[in-house]
Amino acid sequence: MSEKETYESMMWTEKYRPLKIDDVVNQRAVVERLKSMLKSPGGMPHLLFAGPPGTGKTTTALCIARAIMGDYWRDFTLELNASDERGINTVRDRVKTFARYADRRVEIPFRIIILDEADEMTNDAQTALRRIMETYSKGTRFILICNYSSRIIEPIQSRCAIFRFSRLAEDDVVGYLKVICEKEAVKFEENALRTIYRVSEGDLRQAINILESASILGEVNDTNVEKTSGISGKAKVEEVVKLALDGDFKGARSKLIELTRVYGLSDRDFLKYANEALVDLNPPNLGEASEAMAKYDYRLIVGAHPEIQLTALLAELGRIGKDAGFKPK
Amino acid sequence: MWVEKHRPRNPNTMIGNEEVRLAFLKWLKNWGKKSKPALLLGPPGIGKTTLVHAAADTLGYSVLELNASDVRTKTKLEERLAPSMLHSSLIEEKLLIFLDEVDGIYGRQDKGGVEFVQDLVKGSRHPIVMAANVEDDKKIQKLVKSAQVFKFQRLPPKLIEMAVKNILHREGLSLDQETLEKIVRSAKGDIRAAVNSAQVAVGAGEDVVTDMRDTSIGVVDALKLFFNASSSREALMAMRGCGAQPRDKIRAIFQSIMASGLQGEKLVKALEALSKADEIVEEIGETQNYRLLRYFDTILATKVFEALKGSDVHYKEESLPWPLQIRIWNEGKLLGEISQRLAAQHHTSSKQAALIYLPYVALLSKNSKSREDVVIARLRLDESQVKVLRKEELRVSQEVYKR
Ligand SMILES: Nc1ncnc2c1ncn2[C@@H]1O[C@H](COP(=O)(O)OP(=O)(O)OP(=O)(O)O)[C@@H](O)[C@H]1O
Ligand SMILES: Nc1ncnc2c1ncn2[C@@H]1O[C@H](COP(=O)(O)OP(=O)(O)O)[C@@H](O)[C@H]1O
Ligand SMILES: [Mg+2]
Ligand SMILES: [Mg+2]
Repeated sequence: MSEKETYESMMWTEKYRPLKIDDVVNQRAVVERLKSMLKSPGGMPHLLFAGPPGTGKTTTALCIARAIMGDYWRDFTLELNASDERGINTVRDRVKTFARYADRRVEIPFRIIILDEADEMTNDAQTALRRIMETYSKGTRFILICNYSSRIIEPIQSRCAIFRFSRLAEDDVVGYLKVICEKEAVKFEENALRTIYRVSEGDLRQAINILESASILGEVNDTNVEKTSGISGKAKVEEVVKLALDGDFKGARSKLIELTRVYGLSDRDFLKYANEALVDLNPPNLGEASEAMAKYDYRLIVGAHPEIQLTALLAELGRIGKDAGFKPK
Repeated sequence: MWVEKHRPRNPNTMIGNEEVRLAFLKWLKNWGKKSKPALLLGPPGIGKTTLVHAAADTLGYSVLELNASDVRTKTKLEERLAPSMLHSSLIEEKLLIFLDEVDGIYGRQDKGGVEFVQDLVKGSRHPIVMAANVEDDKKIQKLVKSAQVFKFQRLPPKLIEMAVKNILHREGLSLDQETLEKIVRSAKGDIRAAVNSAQVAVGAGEDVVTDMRDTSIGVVDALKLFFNASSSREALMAMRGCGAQPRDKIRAIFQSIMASGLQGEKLVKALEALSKADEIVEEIGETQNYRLLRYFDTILATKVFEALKGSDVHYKEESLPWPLQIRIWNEGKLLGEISQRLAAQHHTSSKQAALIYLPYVALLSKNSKSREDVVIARLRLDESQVKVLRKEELRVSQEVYKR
């Protein structure tokens, strides 16, 4: 670390975020289609990227913007995250204003609007988007990004070319982590890299974060990986689920309140991660637990009070864990 | 009905909330296209609706009123409002748009109601006035931000008495002092309630007044009765006699259960029933089938009450453990700000940033002072944000090393 560190060089997820589509790991099918499309960008339709977290969706979108607009890409790209701004107002104000702004100072085929986490958009917002995607299609292309394309309303799906990103395979992740370790001159055990893959479940973002923090503790071995993989918010949600299944209602609830009220975790995200955690923990009566989760998720969708609903869920998980004689590892 | 017959037509003859009333009149007088909309907030029956109509009248506005009972969805709002928004510039009529009971307009904000109102409000050609009872409602919070708020208070007993006496005088009637005092006391600062019970009392004598007071108990008293009830029937009476909103009843019961430390099967059953009741209330709001509310108290009095039988739950507000409460107050907002900046650095949402990047950034900073400086500079953290970051660093490193 002789030269001066910058934030971007310090955070490995950013440092090793590919700048060119060719460097994106593992998404062969997607990359090939995109590359042939980029040969004549003028004919590019709106795009919809769907796939699990940390598989390169946002990265690929940024690569496209860079490939088409070169150095100017920042000036002509609007990056919006729908989970922060999910209402129709965002669509009406920011998206529309940007989309209809026609002045292009240099020769670029169009401007790009990246709508990340678009599945968090309200239906109203999506509906409003629909007209905009048509009206301003001459000068603007949309890249919508989501985890589940089924949460995007049909009329929008039909206006996009859909690209599915798959969960990264073990060897790809391990290989990428190895490259990073070598470049950073970090000592590592092969086995620890495989452990990182297992806990991050094909999410390369999380894998790199764990790798970097384990390296801070010294070398990348199983002990350090275990120490650092537990600090992410996802792991905290898993802890809540564990405590609940284990019958520690009070402990689970106070952790939940900490996550929601101090760290701003949304009820939707809680359920998303809790569901993953549940599948991982795999209690004997998983089906019953999933049903309970679906029940409270539905009530939340209807508009019921998040704290009451999630608290009731924790209590019910306690009963389910007890019935199954659940003992967390 | 006295309350309608004697509804003041002139703002100056209204009683109580003097300052807010004048402020509102001033707002309307000086209204211009750049003005924010007005939002009148306050408990029922103290003259919000009355003031809007009276003020409009005196200043020569005609009122286009929409309230919770008829128009709720965005499309419907649009349908009703669009013509007047479009054409009135031709007619040159002075029009005031009054969205009464905005707290009841939207079953769920996803319907786009709030957003629509916010849009409507922008660059409106006409003054827009909204009124609502609650302000801690999430939906209202959104409106509060973009509006000029006028807060009304409950009226002190003296003023209520005066209002009732005024009307009695105009009707050429009177009530004995004792009855009058009872009426005033039970009205709890609500003129409309006082006038209504006065009208009844004049015709029917004191008994009715007593009845009327008993049936409008607040949520606190109702819950005390509810938790002490010896049968479902009694519990039902307690709930029925309570004028509070269903949501408030649910929340108060929830708080009490949490504060009691109830455990085991009873806890599961009680929370499940409560959560179901909560769902029903929201569905009713969504579908506008208010008729279905009649089952609501019964659900509380049977399912929830049965689940709680034999347990030691009392009315109580839950207080979170002090250290947690302090963190919510002191750190929640600052962590949110930090996460927002992290989100921009990592092309993700601020919620994800808080969950997935914050702990790792904290660990990195904890490990090296120079890296901490890089983080602080890059995220442009101010002193108080740096303080929370350091707390986060400590927390994360403790967690890492205890493993
Ligand atoms: N300040 C007041 N002075 C005189 N009479 C009043 C006053 N406030 C309320 N009243 C009486 O109560 C009736 C109802 O008042 P109004 O409809 O304006 O209440 P509000 O504040 O809009 O309540 P809500 O929150 O239920 O909409 C009026 O017709 C009038 O008879
Ligand atoms: N396919 C990939 N190839 C290379 N790096 C990746 C890939 N997927 C994720 N990453 C790493 O994870 C980080 C987050 O990836 P991102 O594209 O933002 O994920 P998402 O699919 O959630 O949008 C990137 O900065 C990069 O370091
Ligand atoms: Mg992304
Ligand atoms: Mg009113």
